[in-house]
Amino acid sequence: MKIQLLLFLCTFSLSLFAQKTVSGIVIDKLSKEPLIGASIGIEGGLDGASTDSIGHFRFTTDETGPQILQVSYLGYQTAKVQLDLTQNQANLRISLEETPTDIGEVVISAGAFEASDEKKGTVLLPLDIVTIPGANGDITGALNTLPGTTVNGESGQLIVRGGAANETRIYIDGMAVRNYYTSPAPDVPVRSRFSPFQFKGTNFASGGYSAEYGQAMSSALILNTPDWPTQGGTNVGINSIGLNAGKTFIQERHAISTGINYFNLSPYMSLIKQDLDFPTAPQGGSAFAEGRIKSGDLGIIKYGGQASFNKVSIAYPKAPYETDAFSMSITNKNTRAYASWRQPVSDEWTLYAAGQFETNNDQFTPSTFSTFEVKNQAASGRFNASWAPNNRFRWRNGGEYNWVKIQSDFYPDPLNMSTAAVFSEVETYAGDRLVVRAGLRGERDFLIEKSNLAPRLSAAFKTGKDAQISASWGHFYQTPVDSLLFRNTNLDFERAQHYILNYQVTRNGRIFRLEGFYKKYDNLVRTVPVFNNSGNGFAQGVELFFRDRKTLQWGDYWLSYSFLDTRRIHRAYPISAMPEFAARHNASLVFKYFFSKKQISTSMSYTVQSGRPYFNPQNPEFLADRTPTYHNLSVQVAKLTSIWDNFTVLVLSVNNVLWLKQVYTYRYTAIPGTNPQDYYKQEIVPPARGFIFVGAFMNIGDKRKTVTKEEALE
Amino acid sequence: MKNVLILSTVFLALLSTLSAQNSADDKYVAGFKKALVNLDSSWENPTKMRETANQFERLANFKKTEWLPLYYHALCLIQYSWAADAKERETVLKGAETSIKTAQGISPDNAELVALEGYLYQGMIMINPMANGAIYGPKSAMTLQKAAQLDPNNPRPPYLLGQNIYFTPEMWGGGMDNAKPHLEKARTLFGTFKPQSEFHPNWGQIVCEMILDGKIPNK
Repeated sequence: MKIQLLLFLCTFSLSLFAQKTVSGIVIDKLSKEPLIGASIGIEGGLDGASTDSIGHFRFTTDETGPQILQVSYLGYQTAKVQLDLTQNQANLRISLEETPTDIGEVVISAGAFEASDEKKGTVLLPLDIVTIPGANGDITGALNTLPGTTVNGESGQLIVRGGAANETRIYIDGMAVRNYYTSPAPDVPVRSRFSPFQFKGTNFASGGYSAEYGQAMSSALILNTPDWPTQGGTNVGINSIGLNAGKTFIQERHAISTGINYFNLSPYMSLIKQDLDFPTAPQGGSAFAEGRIKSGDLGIIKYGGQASFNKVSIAYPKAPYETDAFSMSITNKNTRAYASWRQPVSDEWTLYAAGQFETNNDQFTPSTFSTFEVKNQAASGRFNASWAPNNRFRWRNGGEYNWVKIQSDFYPDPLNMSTAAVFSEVETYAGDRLVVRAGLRGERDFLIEKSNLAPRLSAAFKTGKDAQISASWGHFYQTPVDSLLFRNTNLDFERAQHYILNYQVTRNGRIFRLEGFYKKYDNLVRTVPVFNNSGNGFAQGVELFFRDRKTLQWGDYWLSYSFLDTRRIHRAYPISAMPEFAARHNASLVFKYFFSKKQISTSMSYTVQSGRPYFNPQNPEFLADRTPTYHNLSVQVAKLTSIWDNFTVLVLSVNNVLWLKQVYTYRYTAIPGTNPQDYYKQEIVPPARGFIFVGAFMNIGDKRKTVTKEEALE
Repeated sequence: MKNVLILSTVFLALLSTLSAQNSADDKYVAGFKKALVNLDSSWENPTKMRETANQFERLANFKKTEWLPLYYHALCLIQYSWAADAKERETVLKGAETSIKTAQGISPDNAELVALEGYLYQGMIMINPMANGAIYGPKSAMTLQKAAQLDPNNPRPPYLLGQNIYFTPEMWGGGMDNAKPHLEKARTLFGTFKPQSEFHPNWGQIVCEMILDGKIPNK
């Protein structure tokens, strides 16, 4: 009897040593795809395995009885499974769920294009903006390669989704900048007064944007300056149109960047024939100084100012019936000073305050008229308080005040415009896959003595590992532009309502976006037959964007396409019509390739846009004519090199390299003394077919990576 | 006869209890040795490197007071990241960063861990070389410099620094000429370096020699 018991015990204890086999598959809970390289192990033990290339695993273990199987994979939540190891376990099917942080921030992508180094899933990097050929280093030019924009070469301003140029507002560090563009001369495109190098992040909202921003019916361009300069030192540049130099000093808690810039196109224009005659070639200079002070551990104070002066004189082609050509001289003086302070006051609260002051003075001297002056002074301030108790909830509150005084020699009295706005907005996760942003903005305009309340609502839902759907709706009010207010202040806000639906997939360095929108305009100002807010309109469209940074190791390309259908009745329109700044189809391709061994970066961009409407007084149908299709192929080559041990970039860039004729629009002028009335039709074209830029930029003392050398171990 | 049987049974039972008590340490030691053998054959094989990372992960879970399995877990992941695509690379390097930080909590001011942190930042450059280079390049160099200060006789800080310079294009201050002083220094230190135990880090010499002998092209 005892012997039998003992024998049984022996067998039993032997069974303790019998190994059990555990096998199965590990998959992604959402996509059901196998996970390769996941770790499987017995909790509290060392036995385990990794999944193979089809997600399968198999291992043997000495453990027995009830055990816990632990399955882990980077970026996923670890799963624990109860196992009975008195027997073999085969065909286990274990699904893992991505950790919420790795599902990726659910970002509200409807209507938003962001260029930033810091955030994931951004569409453009700041560097992209300066390297897009055809953009001539201009931010708005670069944005013309994104969907939703229409090229308006004769003005150079940003035109978004069937909205006029004044429907886009530009914010720098939260402050609305009034004189963002250089002064306009008829038919000559303006440029940004700011260099793309001055910003670290660009947020281009083609609609549906946050309640923090307002006074823009179509679009907000949100530019942010860097908190701290990336490197000190001196830089100098020489190029086909001018010279520049800058110096940056960095101390532990204080940094200052300064720069000067001089340009003069007369040597260039004497070499490259211009289609327009410039008695005074565009020329001017600017200087800036910017400071940054660290405030506590996390706060930052920014201050700075810039001043610029420039002039140009243009003689326009003479009409056959004219005896003298019309010409125009423009002199511009501009200043801007600003200060801002961002301070996290606790783990949860961050305060931000900012203010700026601008002056702008334009003197116009037309050949047919005496000199007249238009000048403005503008001041604005902003305050924000943001509460973020965790990274899934954020509540932002704030306000802004903008004042501008415009004096024009055409009107006896200056125009004093001022608006105040407050906003409150909550952004919160609802579960791991859904983010909702709800905001309210209230504005008061003290000139027209009207108030508005604009609700905004957006949401993004993660539909899969890399895909999300995003939607946005909101009201967007705008005070009528100053040219209308000079004539009549008895007006109300103009208003647009946005409805946006967006689908976005980001996978393996590729981004695909599909966006549809509908925008409804009300209360647009009409000037004929009565001066009031009785205009209205709509814009609707579909936009595609695809970027691929993956297929070519050193290559990168993106494609965008916009379809736009829009009509409106505003200003002097007799009927509802497609406005002259809109185009039905617009497509762009940007391609970049970096030859890493030769350190040469090449890029090209091609934009094609269907014709835009233009006013033809001889056509009884209003705005029924279309300009020819617009093409622009531009190329750029940059060589990174070292001259006398200083890091140097050599650039050659050619805009419209095929020298194709680009007709922006046509202008009809009545030929005097003809009956019936006859018109002279004039093409509005760029000052020259193309533009050639040759330049060298040198960072003195920047030996690149020698930082590593000096900081090294010796 | 009965007694013999009883005795032997008791003996067997005792043995198994005793071995159970000792087996935790033995298992860890045996498992560690096995993982190190795997590591030796993983340098050229990303799939295997990932499996080895999992092995060290299980060792780290098994003995939560040790920094060494965390160190190797991170090392395997960084090594694996060179072969991963951009998105996976970021996830994998984040995993490595977590292990390094956890290990630094267990063993602060550890030159090996600080050197590995410097190596981690070199991996982070590759997530997006154009944007990250300016941030993580200097950060890596500074961290390796700190590691060298903590242990001037450790060959890995100069080796990792030199290796990174070697693979940087010449016009950015890289290339053999700039890398050589660091690699030469590492070569000397490798010659005299004695790891504290068979489990302590002792890698890098082979690649260092190969670079110096011109056996690994950087173009």
